[in-house]
Amino acid sequence: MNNRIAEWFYKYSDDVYHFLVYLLSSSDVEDLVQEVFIKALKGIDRYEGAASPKTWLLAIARHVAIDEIRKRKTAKWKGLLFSSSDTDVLDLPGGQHTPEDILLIQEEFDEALQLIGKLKRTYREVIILRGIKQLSVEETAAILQWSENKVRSTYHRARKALRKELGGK
Amino acid sequence: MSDQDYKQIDELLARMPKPSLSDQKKQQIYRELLNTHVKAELNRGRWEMMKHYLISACGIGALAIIAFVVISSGVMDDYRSKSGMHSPEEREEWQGNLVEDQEDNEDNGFFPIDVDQLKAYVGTYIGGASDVFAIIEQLPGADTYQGGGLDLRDQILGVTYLHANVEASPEAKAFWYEEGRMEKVFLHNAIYLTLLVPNAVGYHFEVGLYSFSVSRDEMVDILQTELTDFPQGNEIWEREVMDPFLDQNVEKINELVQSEEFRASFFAEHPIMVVKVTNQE
Repeated sequence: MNNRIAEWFYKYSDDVYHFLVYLLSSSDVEDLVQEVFIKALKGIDRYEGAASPKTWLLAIARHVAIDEIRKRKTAKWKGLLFSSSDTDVLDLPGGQHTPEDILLIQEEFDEALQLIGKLKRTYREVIILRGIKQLSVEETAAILQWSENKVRSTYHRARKALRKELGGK
Repeated sequence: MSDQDYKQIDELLARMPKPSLSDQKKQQIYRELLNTHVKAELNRGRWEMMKHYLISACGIGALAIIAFVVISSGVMDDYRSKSGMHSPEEREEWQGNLVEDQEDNEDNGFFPIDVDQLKAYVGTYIGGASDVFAIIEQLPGADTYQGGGLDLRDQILGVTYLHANVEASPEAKAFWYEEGRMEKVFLHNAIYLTLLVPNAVGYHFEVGLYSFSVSRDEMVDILQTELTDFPQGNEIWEREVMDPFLDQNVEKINELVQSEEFRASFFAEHPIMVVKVTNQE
């Protein structure tokens, strides 16, 4: 396999994974992670090195997620996308977890997914990249193919919307 | 919204769980990526071979035209006596033989090895490089040796079939990147080297960017279960024991190598990895 993709898979597969998890409000996205890296493998010749590999992979992941959302919409899934049954089992990172820990983390995770899932897609994208993944404005702009100003203003509005959601609880 | 509110939201977002893929899932995805890459390489290899054959066909065509012109000009006999060129009938016969030879040499689902010749190397010490090399020469993959080599340091028997920095020939690519071929050859050769070079502590193969490693102990554990009458103690060094053992198990080894189920479980434990990660393409 292309050596860069192999290296990036081990470095960034988790980043791609939780980006997709939040964007699609579902932890059942392993197949999409695979699709992202297969697309990267096939398109590696087009990677020019202008953006960091992580930014490039997350941009691919975004397109894969948008396609997935379209597919699900076509299938009239709307009610399913944010249903709790879709936020199934969470893969927890290494370490010892008691059943209580797991339950607590799972609950927190479900709540987070529900919350993010209520926002419109553009808000969700910027909240995940800037807020959860803590990427810079520049990186977020590169992934979303927006101007940096648009990232700042949309993030500002997205946080307001999130606050509203939290306040409504 | 006050600055304090924004700060709270930022803190809340930063604290949100960051789930990760399980190692098992990663391994599974990695395996799929590997398969995708192997298929792509195979297609590329096929295309290169086709180009190669196309160019050869054009060459043959051009030769045929020249021959026709020469025959027509009535000087063929004289030309043949001087140059030793074959008549079209002779060439046809020769090409027919070539096709038959190629068909004979095709991989019919198993690797045609001469077990009787391999028996001569029962009990080979890893220090005996020439004997180890002679075994490798008789096992599948040896024909594709390109910039490869043998590495016997630390009692690990390492064979590099295709060097990562050497562009492989279309034939070598067609051989190694056939679906499932790398797994079959690695497994097959690891089995025979376990049986023939008992004092190695492990076996390691490289093909381009791919590598595979397995320890001798792991191989012995598997073979003790899978093969009939696996030699006990020092019996593995004795030809009297090993000759009948090899005869008895040669078919069984082929079955293991060809079994998709067995390979899947074997390589799940000992995956083929990318060997050299560099920043160069």
